[in-house]
Amino acid sequence: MTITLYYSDMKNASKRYGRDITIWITVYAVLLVGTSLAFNHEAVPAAVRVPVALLPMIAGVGLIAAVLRRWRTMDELEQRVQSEALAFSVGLTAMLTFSYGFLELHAGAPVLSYFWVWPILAAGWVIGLSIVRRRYQ
Amino acid sequence: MKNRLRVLRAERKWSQAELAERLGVSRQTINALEIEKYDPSLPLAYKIARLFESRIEDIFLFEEE
Repeated sequence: MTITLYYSDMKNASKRYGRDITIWITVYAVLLVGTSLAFNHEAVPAAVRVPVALLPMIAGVGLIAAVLRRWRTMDELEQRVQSEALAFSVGLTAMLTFSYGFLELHAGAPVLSYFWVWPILAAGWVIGLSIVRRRYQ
Repeated sequence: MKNRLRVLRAERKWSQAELAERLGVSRQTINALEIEKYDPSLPLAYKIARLFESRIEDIFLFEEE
């Protein structure tokens, strides 16, 4: 009974996470394409440029909820591994973004978009996971 | 923390995966516990003790560094 329940819970949690992520990424993509088209055709009145520009981020709320729901179904070691990997990633991102900020200020480095923060954080997370997982093997 | 998990599991002829299923954790967690790279939470330690019908202190040996 316990075995069946555990497998069933894990399988359901994983399936639900996959489904939630797919839904919210689709919502993001649709809103992104929609707002981009609207801005490219200059169809957005000045008064609503800010809320329309932020529309794709509605999906961000759903993605955060999906990740948190998945987090709560992870077993305790996996939660620890993920936490340590995230701590590594946040530290690395802070170091890199601050370093680049100083280079922009004082060394003439080109100004980069804030969009770079997430790829750096994600890459740091993946690197962090590969380092932390080794500690527990 | 030292522990007798591997011995207790072997006595019952369970695989790591089987023990993981019984405890509701991943096989990786069982492996990390057995090689003493990871100390369980208190609720998991209780679950392990109950599963093996022992006391926590009979399975896990706390040594001050």
